[in-house]
Amino acid sequence: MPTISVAPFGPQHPSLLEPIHLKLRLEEEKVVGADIVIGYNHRGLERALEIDYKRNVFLSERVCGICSFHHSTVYVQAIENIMAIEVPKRVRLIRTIMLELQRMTSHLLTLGHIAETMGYENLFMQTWREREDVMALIDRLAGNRVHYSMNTIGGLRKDLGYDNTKDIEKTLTELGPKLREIRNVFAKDSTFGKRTRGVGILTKDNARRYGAVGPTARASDVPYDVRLSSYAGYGVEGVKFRPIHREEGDCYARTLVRADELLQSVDLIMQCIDLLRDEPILIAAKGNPTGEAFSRVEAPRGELFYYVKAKGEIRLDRVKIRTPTFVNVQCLAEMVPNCQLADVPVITVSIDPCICCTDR
Amino acid sequence: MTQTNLPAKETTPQPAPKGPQVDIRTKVSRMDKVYAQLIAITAVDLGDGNFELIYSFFSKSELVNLRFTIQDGYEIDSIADMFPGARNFEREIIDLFGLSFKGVQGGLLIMPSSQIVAPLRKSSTPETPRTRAQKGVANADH
Repeated sequence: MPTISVAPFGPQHPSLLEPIHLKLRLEEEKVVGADIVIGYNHRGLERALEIDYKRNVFLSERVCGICSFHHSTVYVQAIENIMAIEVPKRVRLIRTIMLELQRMTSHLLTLGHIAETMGYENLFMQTWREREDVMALIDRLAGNRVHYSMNTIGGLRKDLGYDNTKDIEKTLTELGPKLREIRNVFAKDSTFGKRTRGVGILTKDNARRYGAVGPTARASDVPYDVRLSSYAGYGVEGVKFRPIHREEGDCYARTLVRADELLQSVDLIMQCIDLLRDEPILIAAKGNPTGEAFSRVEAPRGELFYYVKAKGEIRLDRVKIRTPTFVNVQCLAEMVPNCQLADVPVITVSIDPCICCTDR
Repeated sequence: MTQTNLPAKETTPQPAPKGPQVDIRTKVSRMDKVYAQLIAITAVDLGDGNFELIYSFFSKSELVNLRFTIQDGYEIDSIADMFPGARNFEREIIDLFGLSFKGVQGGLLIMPSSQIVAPLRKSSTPETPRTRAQKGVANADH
């Protein structure tokens, strides 16, 4: 009769950037089960978001540091929907450009983190070097690297000028070949393949039952992408894309989906720049919102869902935030059984956990 | 494949609290049969002793919301056997609203031994440095 021992993984661990705790049940080196514990970062943000619906634009941006613009976009979308404000096409396109730039920074961060977790330091540095170009570009466009503060209810607080669009085109044209090179290393490197192929498999049925979203779901052959629902600039005529999905369901597939989405983001940004026309960037919002709205965007880690209920006051009645990692993290319970203990960090990082916004 | 974001497809609001007659499991099992994906379970304090539970599903390229009104103190049926991803949503509602689900324990976001109970209820007053000072708790932040 084999002995089952329990080993903690996290909440403080060298391979984790944020606190998540896996109670691993081990049979020698083999993992036979895991309990996932979150909640170390709970800050009560849903209650704080009830205080003032106008200031929430900035507070919602601070729910997460890596997908900050996605949080503010999904929030202003909800309020605009309640107040029946239809924002101009230019606003939708600029939001899409910034959303895709942020997706690139997030995916490059994750890819570097996966490489570093495996001990592939060169690839980690190469990935984060290219990420720095995107971060510097965002700094030039928005004036900030992390919290852009560009969104407001009814439009944008900052426009992109001719120089800015030329800057984006120049930077991304130079970056394209480098991203393809990184993508090819992840796709073809034998060491990387040996560590990730067939490791941490999430089946298609389990992905649906656990409600997996984003690259985690798309790597398990679930082509679930909220960008198809035509929010922001994704619904503008002339902007075309097809969700990237793979069938393997392992760490390799999750990494490759992200690497391919990098190139897709470059393509989407170029499409949006071509469609930009002179239009106002702000529609004035009058009065306080009354009603409720469900708002969704495709954040880098998957579907980000907000429910907002307002009752005609500055205060909101309820704000619910469902972040992608909140559902993806539960899939780890299906991914880690039957893998080796040494593979647990790679599997955990392959879902790109963002615990800060999961705990809220 | 096309998806629609808003407006969501709504079900008819359920009648006011009737305890065991609120049949969540039957309606949710229909979503399971059509291979729907659970997006979120949202609880809203209605302020009159009742709570609204909104089960949001993505089904056939649409957002479908099932709404139930639950009386405070009623033990709600868990759907975690059909949708394992629902367990964390239920645990979160136990922690933040003080509702109870059959066979599910809280402790996801707030430790069971914590003095903070159901912070998202309308009756809950958040504790701030000012309220702590009014209570006479010295050096509360240190």
